[in-house]
Amino acid sequence: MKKHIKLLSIVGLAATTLAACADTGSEGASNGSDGGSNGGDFDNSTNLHLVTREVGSGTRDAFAELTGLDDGDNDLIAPEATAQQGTNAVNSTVADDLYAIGYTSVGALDDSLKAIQIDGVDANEENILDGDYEIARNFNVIIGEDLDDVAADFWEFMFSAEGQAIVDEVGYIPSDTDAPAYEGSDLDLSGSIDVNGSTSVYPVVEAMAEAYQEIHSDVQIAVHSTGSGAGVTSAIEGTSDIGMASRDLDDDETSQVTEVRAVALDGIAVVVHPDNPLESLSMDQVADIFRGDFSTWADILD
Amino acid sequence: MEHINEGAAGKTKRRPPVRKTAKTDWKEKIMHGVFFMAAFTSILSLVLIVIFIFTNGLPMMFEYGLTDFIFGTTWNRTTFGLLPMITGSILVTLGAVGLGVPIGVMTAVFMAEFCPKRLYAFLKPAVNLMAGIPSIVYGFFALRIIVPQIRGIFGGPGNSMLAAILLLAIMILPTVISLSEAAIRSVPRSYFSGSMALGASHERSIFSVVVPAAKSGIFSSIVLGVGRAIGETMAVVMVAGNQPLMPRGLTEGVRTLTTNIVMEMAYASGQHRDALVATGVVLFVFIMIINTTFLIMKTKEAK
Amino acid sequence: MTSKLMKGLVYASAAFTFGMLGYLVIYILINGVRFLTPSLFSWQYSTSNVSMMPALMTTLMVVAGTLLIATPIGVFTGFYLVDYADRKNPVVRAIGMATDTLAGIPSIIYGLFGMLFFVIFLEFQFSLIAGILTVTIMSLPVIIRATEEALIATGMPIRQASYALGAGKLRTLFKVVLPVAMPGILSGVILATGRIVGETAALMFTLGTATNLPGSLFASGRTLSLHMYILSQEGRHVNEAYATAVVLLIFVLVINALSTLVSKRLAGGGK
Repeated sequence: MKKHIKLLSIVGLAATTLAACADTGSEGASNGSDGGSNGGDFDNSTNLHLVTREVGSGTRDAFAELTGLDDGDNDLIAPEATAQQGTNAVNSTVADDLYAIGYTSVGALDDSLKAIQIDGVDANEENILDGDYEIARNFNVIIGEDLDDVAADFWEFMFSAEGQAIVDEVGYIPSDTDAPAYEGSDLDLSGSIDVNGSTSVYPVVEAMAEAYQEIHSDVQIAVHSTGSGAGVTSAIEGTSDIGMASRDLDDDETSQVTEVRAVALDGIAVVVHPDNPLESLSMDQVADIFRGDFSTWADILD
Repeated sequence: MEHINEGAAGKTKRRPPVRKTAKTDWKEKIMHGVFFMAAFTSILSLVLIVIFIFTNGLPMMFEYGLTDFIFGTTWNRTTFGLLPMITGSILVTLGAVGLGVPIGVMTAVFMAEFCPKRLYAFLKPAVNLMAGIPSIVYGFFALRIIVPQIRGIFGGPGNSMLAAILLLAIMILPTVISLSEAAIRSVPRSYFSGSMALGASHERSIFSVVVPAAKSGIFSSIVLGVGRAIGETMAVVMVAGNQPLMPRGLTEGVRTLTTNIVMEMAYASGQHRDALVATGVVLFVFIMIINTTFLIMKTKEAK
Repeated sequence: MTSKLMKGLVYASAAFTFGMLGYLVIYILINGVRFLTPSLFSWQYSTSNVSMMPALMTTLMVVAGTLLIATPIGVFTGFYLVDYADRKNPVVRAIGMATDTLAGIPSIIYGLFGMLFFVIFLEFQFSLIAGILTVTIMSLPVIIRATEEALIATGMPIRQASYALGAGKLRTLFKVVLPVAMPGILSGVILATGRIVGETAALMFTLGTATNLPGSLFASGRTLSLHMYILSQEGRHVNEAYATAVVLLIFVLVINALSTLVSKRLAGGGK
């Protein structure tokens, strides 16, 4: 009898824990976007939670350069910032945290994030094309050595009207609005192409590769998302046919490659939680924030 | 561990003469060779691992300056001070073990001594399931549940040392539970019945006699727990915040040796890459120290 | 008094452990199952369907390839250590220590090694073969230890009986000892399978992250765990990451069930 009571108590205890947990779980899932338990009340005295990409990320390099936070080999972005690997990791961190501020690709924005105006300019396609939104960069593709016929044709495809249309579909900005039509659809091609590099450029080139393989079913294109640094290195070393980088190449790198060309344009948006009252920042403020000069939200909002 | 062969050697004289034909002899010899070659793979692999990790990592450490590398506190693309990550790894591991081991051992005691048979049939597979869940799933779970909870309760960014500690404490549970349970079960039943016969209560017999007798097995469960905690990478990188700074508090971010490698490896080239391999060297040395320390403790315990 | 307190702690710990596990499983199921759409299992991966099928197949390929190499080596090592070697031989002690050391090395070190040795030094690039060989070394100690324990557990009498009937050492080992030790060995192999399925760090720098099904041993791919990591960090596909987690959980359940089934059936048949 005693045993049974024990059994009951343990099962009961486990069940309660479980039920309690499962309850918070579903709750967390349903209001995932309202900043957890913080609700909608924004407390100005809370510290800023800086969120950045990891060292070596093309997005980080481009952001540092465009905001004047670059400094030789290293950048001035506060080392205290939470470093996240990947665009989505940054997005979800900011979307979950009322007091976070980060930066991400404009093409990767969605409702869970609020993009801040820079000097009164919205981060959108139009403003980026016009050059009004200043934190914008190229998505580059790189040729290290000369390409073989198949890779060269894929290169043509990326810069054709068809290829550039895909850039738009994926949510980024085509680099060439009056690109020529693709002429290689009748060619009989087979072989494999290896593309390697930036995690930001990856979705664009991956979508292009798919479209291309629908035309040329005997061509295999492997697209690896490893990072801009790795993309440049692999193009230079010849381990990949084509490299991808979400930043511009420095002089030393440019001298070692055959060609670099922008396949798409992208802005980098400064993002906060949707319930954050912040609406606009000046370029200098952005730089100060990510340098770590502000500690609490009151420093910025008041 | 008892070796069959030793037993065999001792009893050779009593073994009836084996009928030996030329054919079996020849076969035996070849297979003996094959088995030896297979066994040698382990050594070969280990030697290769040591050679490749060390020859790629050590020169960088000496070139850069061993003290600067180990005791430097700044890590960026040109400066490689590993102390923040070393401290981070140690603190996170200590925290995880401090939290996970007691819970794991207690759970093992429950499974071995208090658990009704019918429940056990359900809980044992549950522990196996827990051991089998990929670390990436644990990491994802921690990212979606533990991190927001920490942010809600303690403030701060959520991605923190505490998140990493909680995550790893959970992740080492199955290792600690299985090994401790096995250790407790291997204690001869006479210990328990002896204690009961002397008038000790059921609980007292378990906690004062059976569990202490299983000490050495529980120790080895701790070794493996420490090993798993310090070596875990992909789950930790998702929740730890990953700032290359000296640990600043439980609710602030931290970077460990393993996450240092995985965060930057894809981008790194030249000395930066060597510095990451050198991080691997330090991690390797850590693992060796842990294993040896516990091995010594275990042998002492056995005596 | 202390006993009572300890007992309370024991119960609380057990409740925490299994409560946590239940929470995790339920949480993943709740968030993942509804996203398990047929398009997630299309044969061809595309950025619009985010299919996990190629990753699923790659996982099976990596598991099969690894077990094909690691099982014979691991089992033979067990044979050697238990039935052939002289324990006092320094080489044999070294083998034992090497196995223990290999078991303790974290997977990120295996990843580094695989990258330095297979990918760069042997110029395999990111490929199936580099991934398989890396996790082969990783799963060796698991299989070796399981074999060793299973062989030791069979005991001396069974061998003596076989010798007495005139069987040679090899014949005894394969025909008499091995069938009895089989459940133990198999459970080691299954344990290794679980480890391979869950592996991420060691494969990231060796197998690579290509989304296609690898066409040859020298092509890159990604396993389910890697796929899930990349989805959760880089894509805009958190829902698919949950769905992948569900599939991974199912994998683990199947592997565990298999392990229980196999050892039960074989244990029954062996005796």
